[in-house]
This record gives sequence, structure tokens and C-alpha cells, in this order.
Amino acid sequence: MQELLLILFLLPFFAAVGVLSVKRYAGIITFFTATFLMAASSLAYLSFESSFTLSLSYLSVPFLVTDLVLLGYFATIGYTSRNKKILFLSIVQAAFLFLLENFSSREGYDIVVDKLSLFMFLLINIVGSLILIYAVRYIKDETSDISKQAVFLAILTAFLGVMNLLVSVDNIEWLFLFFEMTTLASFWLIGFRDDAESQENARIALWMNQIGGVALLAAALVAKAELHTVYISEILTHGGETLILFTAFFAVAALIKGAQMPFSPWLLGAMAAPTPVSAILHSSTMVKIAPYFILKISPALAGTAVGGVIALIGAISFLVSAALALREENFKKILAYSTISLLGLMILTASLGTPLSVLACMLLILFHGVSKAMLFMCAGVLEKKYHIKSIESVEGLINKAPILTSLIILGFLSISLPPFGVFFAKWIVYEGGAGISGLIVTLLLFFIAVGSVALTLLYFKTVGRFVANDDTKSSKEDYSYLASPLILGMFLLGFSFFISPAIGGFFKENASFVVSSVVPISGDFWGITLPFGRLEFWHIVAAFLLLGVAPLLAAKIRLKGIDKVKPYSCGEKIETSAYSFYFDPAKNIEKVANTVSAALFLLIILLGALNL
Amino acid sequence: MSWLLTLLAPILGGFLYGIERKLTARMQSRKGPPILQPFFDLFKLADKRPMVVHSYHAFMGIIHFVAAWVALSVLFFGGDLLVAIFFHLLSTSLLIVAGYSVKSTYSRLGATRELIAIAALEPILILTAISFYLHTGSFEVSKILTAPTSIFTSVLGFLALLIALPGLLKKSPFDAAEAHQEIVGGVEIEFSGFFYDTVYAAKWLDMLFVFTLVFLFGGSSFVVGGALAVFAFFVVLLADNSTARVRYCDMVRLLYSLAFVLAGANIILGVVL
Amino acid sequence: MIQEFLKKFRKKSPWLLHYNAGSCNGCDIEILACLAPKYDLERLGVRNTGNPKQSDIFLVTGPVTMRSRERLVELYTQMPEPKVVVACGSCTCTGGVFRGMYNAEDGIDRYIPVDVYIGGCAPHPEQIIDGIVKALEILETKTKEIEQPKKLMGKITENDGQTDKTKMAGSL
Repeated sequence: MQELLLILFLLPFFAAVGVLSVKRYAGIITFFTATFLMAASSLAYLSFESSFTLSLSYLSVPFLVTDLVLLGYFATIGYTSRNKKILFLSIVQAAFLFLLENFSSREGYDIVVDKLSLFMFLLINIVGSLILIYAVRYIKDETSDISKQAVFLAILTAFLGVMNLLVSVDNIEWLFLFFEMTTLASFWLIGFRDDAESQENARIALWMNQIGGVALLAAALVAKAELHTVYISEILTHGGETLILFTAFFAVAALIKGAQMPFSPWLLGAMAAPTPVSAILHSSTMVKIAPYFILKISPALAGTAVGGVIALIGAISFLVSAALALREENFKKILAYSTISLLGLMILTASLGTPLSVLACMLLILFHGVSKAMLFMCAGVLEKKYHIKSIESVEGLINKAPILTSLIILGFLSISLPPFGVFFAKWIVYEGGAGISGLIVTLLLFFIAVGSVALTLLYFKTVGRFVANDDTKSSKEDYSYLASPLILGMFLLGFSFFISPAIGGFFKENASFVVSSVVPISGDFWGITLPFGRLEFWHIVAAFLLLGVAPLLAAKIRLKGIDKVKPYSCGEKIETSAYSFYFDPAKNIEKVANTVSAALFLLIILLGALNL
Repeated sequence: MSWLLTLLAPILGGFLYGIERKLTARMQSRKGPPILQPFFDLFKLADKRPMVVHSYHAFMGIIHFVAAWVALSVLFFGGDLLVAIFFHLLSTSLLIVAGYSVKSTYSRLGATRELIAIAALEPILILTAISFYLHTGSFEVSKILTAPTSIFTSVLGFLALLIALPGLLKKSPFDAAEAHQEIVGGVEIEFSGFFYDTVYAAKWLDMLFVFTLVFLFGGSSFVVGGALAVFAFFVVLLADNSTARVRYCDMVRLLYSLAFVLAGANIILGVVL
Repeated sequence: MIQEFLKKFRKKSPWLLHYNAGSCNGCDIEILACLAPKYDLERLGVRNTGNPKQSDIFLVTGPVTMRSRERLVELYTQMPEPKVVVACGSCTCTGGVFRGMYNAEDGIDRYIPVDVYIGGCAPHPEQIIDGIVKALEILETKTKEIEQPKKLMGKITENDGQTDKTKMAGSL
């Protein structure tokens, strides 16, 4: 166990150094690191017995120095680019940090690896490593400069290490350091292409995430001033009155990292300019910090007004981002909006804090991560191999690249319909939510119902572009990129069969740990039983055959002995075509949603201060 | 019983459609086709020389039919209402995918409108399911059918479903997705012969699905349920014959401002009381 | 066996495709009158589909103006066999008052094989119903062989076990 954790924490950093020093073998080193990390995280999950704790208080001073160096770096960026926000926020954070260090009490464990951390390890390392493997191939087409390639791979690899540490630290000061490091990683990755647009987007990401850093430090200050401790687990158990204010600040940091409205521009910017690889990391692993944070504090949030407001912010982002995505034709932007939207749903479910909603949140975290990683990898292939960015130009691609297109279609189906994970999450949320009587929960259910059809509309509209088919056979598809997305696709398809035992075992166990009570759900191979509903195994099989197998078969099948005719066009000879449907929701809806959400952010803090 | 119902579903649906056509004719003071007319159509279509635009499209039509049947069987086997609704969504989405896959303006237009119709109708179905839970304590159809009738406590929910029914059955005033005179049947347009059979029969299954949902309002009292279903059937036909088609955006607006609000109010009442 | 069984239903559910090849709308109004309550063609199972791919009877009105030739043939070829063509009205049968005009052809049978001619300007609804019933008798005797237009014939190709009819209607 200990050795495995050591691999997870340190290997990425050593590998990053290795990649930078032996640039010629950067790809190979990255590849092996990725495989090691995948194996280590799975083994760590399997060999887990009890929470692993570690006290490393002697590292506090070096970490503090690193903090200051980092903030100094940010401040320099702010100064050289004349961006006052970055400069100001860096200074504020430094000031908070000094305030924080005036106190001193150090007894406790800085690193606590519990079930939730292991759950996150699985997501980060398996999905993240597949992304790394994909990146090795991808970066060769992106730039021919070998040192630039190495830098890119090194950042990605080290980023996984940072993420692993972030989900295991219990000391909030350290958490801040890793939080800032992920911010740094997104700054570097978004600005990687080094043109004006990506630089600008990188700075937006930087200052927005720094607000999250400020909120995190504020949470630490509150905890330290009132409870004289920096350990999150202690705060959560002995919090008392300060707890609410602490969770309020903590949640604000999470919401910003999760790009909830009005902080969504940073994630959208991350999609618009830079390489798809960073996009994958952003939308399938890094932003999962948000639901992770909320899950950590969700027992404290259950039933509080603060929790309700957080859920409302999530609900607004869920609905409005889904609706806003309907006007986009850039494939990656559509994915980005859908990420923000689903993050809203994750935050909503996590902050409700009931056992079933927490389970739904974990389902969403894992399956959204897998599906989105796959979709973004496919977006990368579209961009690099077929030079397609807009969904308007994908017509006929299903004939040219059937596997790639099938993977994209599978990706979209897997975040909307049975038998895939996200459907189960929605189902559990509806049934669990209906079980709680309370007007706020009912209101949230309305949001979920409308938001999820908006997403369905978006997904099927996009899928509709990809299935556009002219029934021609064409030359062989280029598979060189497809290894990682194929693995994820197989995982999605294969896992859908075992989803009911997985929900009854794996997810139930982890969710029960988070809420520290038993989730009222049982699932075995023959179905899933909720308190008020049941899903049979044959439902899963039927859905699998209808969605997983039949469309693939349909793409493969050629009906023999049947006439082929032209589509109907009123008898006209001209070729007609129809483009996709775009819907621009009322012009000011974005503004209104941003304003309302911003007000709700302030309300969170206010309610936190009032202990509601 | 469930097996029998599921197996006979297409036949039942065919009869229902035959009755509907007859009744429509009577409402217009016509004689109308025989009750078995849908089956005549079905057999005749099967006898045509088969043709497709491309195999993917035709095959998806068949899968759409199977999916509609599965959705119905989830209901008939007493399964979870929400699951049934999601299967219903699944079957429609397969048809939409088929509609988008051909390079035909009408087909794609129809698919888009179908999607927009889903966006307006799906939340109402889900809220209806939640309202069933609030009044009967379960999402499972088998348990809803043994619980006392919920029509008296959820009149608003019933009204909401009634308003949404023409949309679900693609009948006037909410038939923009099909609009025979305007976009020549929308997604159905490129199907012909045997392949149109499947789409044609899937419509009957959809009809059964929707009226079974109405039937559930009766709970354990099958008489009340049956009466409600007949009433809804009649009202939908009356609306079909006496209203003009509304534009698709007006349809969304109307459904949200009437049916969704009613369904929401029904749930809020259920929670509060 | 199954074929024999299915064949019985051909005349029980004839679906119409109504095409106006430059008619003065007189015949079209009469056709609509047939579908309306007084004559109620639907009692014979008739449905006006407006979609060639799902129809059995091609009901054409008008003398075939120059503009409508290609469309006429295109729609005809898009109908699956077995199919019958009914020429409704004098113009459609012979060109009628438009016969010999510079901008119209003399009846649709120059372009596509016609099975039933209904005379009259405009034909009475009862005549049209009679014509359709006649067409149904012919429909029963038809086979599923590909029927081709007389003019504007494109090419039909075999490809991969699939008959490609997409180019069956040629251009002028």
C-alpha cells in the first residue's frame, strides 16, 4: 500500500524530470510512467484496508517557500502582462498566507488517503494515463521542436502527481499549494501554443482560479482562527459553528475550479485556443476537483442553507450552459459547455448530501470523466487528422472514419441514455430527490428535468451531424491515434454490463464512506433496487443491445437485394442539404445567469457568516 | 398476463389506431376506413419492392421499432416508470438518428423538430412519474397499479399530461414534427415498404405507451383508469380534428407555459400537502 | 405463399401520390372533393401521402408543362413497384385544350406508362373514384419488376448486390 502510494505521489515528478533531461526518450518515459500509474492506482484500490495516514510536518517550511515562489511567479506574470487582477490577487494571497503562518499548531496527519482519495486516484490515474499515452502520439503532430514536446509531456506527467497529492492531503495549507499548482498547470497548458489568443485565455484562467485560491485561504484562516487547526478532517468533525463559514469558503473555491457560472469563461477559453490534450485534462480530470471538494464537505452541507445555495448555483450552470451550448458549432466548445453543465449537476448532487445523491455524484464523476476524455481525444483526432473543428463539416465522416465516428456517437450516448453510467446517475437523482420532501429539492428536480433535456437536445443534434451518411465505402481508416479512445470506449461498453453489481458494490461502498452511513441501494447482477424503484438486468441488456450493439451493426451492415434510391426532394434534381439547428436563447440569459450566480456566490459567504 | 400483453402489443396498437381512424372519420362525418385498415396498410407495405436510401437508415428504423416495444414491455412488466420513460426517449432518439443520417432536407428538419418536441415533452413525462411517486409511494408500475387511484389528488398532473398528449402522439395542434402537409412526415419520409412498416407500427406502440401512462392514474381501480384512458383518447382526437397546427417554437412555449407549469404545480402541491 | 397472402391487401390500402403537372387546379379540386366527407375515399383505405416512397397510385393532373417534365419522371421513379399511374382529366390524358402548345406536352403518357385514363374537364369525383377502383384492379395484376419511364430514362446499375436506382430518372 505504502509503496503504491509512493509511486502515485512521486513517480510523476521523477518522470517529469526524466522527460526534461532525456528529451529523446520523452515518449517512452511518459508511456511507462502512465502504465505504472494505472497499475499502481488499481492495486492501491484493491489492497486498501484502512485509511493511510502520514505526518510530514517538517515539509511545512519548504512548502511555504514553494507557495511564495509560486505566488511571486504569478505576480511577475501579472506585472509583465500588465494584468492588474493577477497581480492584485497574488498579493492578496501572499498576505493571507502570512496571516495564516502566524498561528502554529501542528499535530495531525498531513496526508490522509481514504476511500474517496482512492476513488479519485482511479479516475485521475487511469483516465489521466490514457490521456498521457495519447499525448505522446499527439504532441509529435503538434510541434516538431523536441524540447517543446518534452516540456509539454513533463507538465502533463507532473500534473498527474499534483492531482494525486491534491486528493490525499488533509492539511489545508498544503491543499492550497496543490490547488495553486493545478492553476499553474492550466496556465501553462492553455498558453502552450503561445499565440495571442491562448495567452489571453491562459491569463483569464489564472486570475479566475486565483480567486479560488483566495477563497481556500480564507477558509483556512477561518478554521485556524476559530479552531486552531489546519486539518480538514478535524475541522469537519469538531467544526461546530465555524464549520458553515469554512464550508462556504471551501465550496466557493470548488465552484470556481469547477468553472461554474459566472466563472465559466476560463474553461471555455481552455477549449477555444490550445491543444486538445490540455482540454482533455481540464475537462475530465482537473475540474473534478470541484465535485471532490464538495463531496468532502457534503456531510456538513446536508440540510444547510449554504448547501441549498450551492446546489442552486450548480442547477443554474447545469441548465444555462446546456442551453447556451445550443448556439455553438465548434465541436470542442460544445464539449466544454456540456462539461460545465454536467459539473453543475455533479455539484448539485454532491451538495444535496443525501446518500443517494452522493452516489449519483460519484457515478457522474467517473463516467463523465471517461466519456469526456474519449470525446476530447476524438476531437483531437478530428482536428489533427481531418482538420475539422466545426460540427457542420463532419458530414460523411462516418464513411471515411467509421471507428472514430462510432466512438464519438458512443461518447454522446454514454452521457445521456441507458445503459451507461450517467443515465443511472440521473435515475438515482430523480428517485432519490423525489424521496426528499422539501420545496428546494423539488425546485432542483425541475432544473434537472429541464437541464437534462437541454443536454439531450444538444447531444442528439451533434450526433445527428456525425451520422450523416452517404453510404460510400472508402479507404482504410488511420488508427494511429485511436488506442486510448478505443480503450475508454471498450470500458464504457463493457462496464455497462456490470454496472448493476458495480453500483451495488464499488459505488455503494465509496458513497457510504463519504456520507458515513449506508446508502439505501442494493445492486447485484440481476438488477438495482432503490427504495422506490427497481431496474432489472434485462433492461440493461436490452438497452445495451439497442444502443451499444445495434448502431454499430447498422454502420457495418449492407442490405443486399434491395434497391437504392435518392432521398426525396420534391422531384427536384438539385442536391439539397440541411444544416444543424442552432438556438440562441434570449440574448441576456447569459448575463442574467451570470449575475444571479454571482449574487448567489456572495449569498453563500453571507449565509456562511450567519451560520445558516 | 404481462407476456401476453407484450406479445400482443403491436396487434392491440393496430386496433387502437384503426379505432382512432374510424373515430376521426366519424367526427368529420365521414364513413371512414374499416377498423382493420392499419393491418391492411401494414401487409400492403410489406408487399412493395423494397428500397432504401442507405442501409444504416433502414436498419435504424427497425431498431426504433424494437426499442419502442422494449419501452412498452418495461411498462407492461411492471417495471420502473422512469426507466420506461427513458426507454421511450431512447426509441425516439434512434428514430432521430435515422432521420439525421440521410441527406434529405425534410428528414433532417423532421428530426430536429422531433428533438425540440422531446425537449418540451420529456420533462413533463418525468414530472408525471414523480407525481405518481408522490401519490403512490413508488416508481414501480406494478406497485402503482395496486395503490389507490391518484387521479383525485393529482388532477393538475393529469391535465398536464392531457395537454402534452397530442405532442406525444404527434397530433394536431402539436404535430409540427410530422406535419404531413408541410414537411411530408418529417423523419418518416425516407422510409418505404417494409422499413416504413416498422416505423408505422412503432407509432402504434407509442400510442399504447402513452395511453398506458394515462391508465396508471386509475391506480388499482382499473375502471377509473380505463375511463381516463378512453376520455384522454377522445379528447386528443377532438383536439386533433378541431385545432390547427402551431409552429414548433410556439409548441415549446405552450407546452412549457401550460403543461410544465401544471405538472410542476401538481408536484409542489403534492410535496406541500 | 406469403406473397399470395400479402398480395390480397394491395387493393385494400391504396395510398395516393397526387402530382400537379401544370394543371389549372380544376382536377385538383375535384380530387380533394373525393377525399372530403361527401365522397370519402378513405373508406376504401385511400390516403393522400404526398410522399412517392410510400404510395401505390400516382395520380397526375395537368398536361405536363415543360417545367414539370423532369419532376414527373423523378417522382415516378421514386415510387416502389408495384405501382399504377392514373391520368386524371383531359389535359393529362391528351393535352386537352393545351394540346400543341409550345410550352406543354400532350399528356403524361409521352413520359410515363399510364394505366388508367380519366377523361373530363374536370372529371366528376365519381369518375375519379371509378378510375381509382379500376386502377386497383390493375394494381393486383402487377408484378414487382422495375417499371421504367418512356423518356428521360437514366441508368440503373447493379452494385454490391444492390440495384442502384438513384440515377434512374435522367435529366433533359
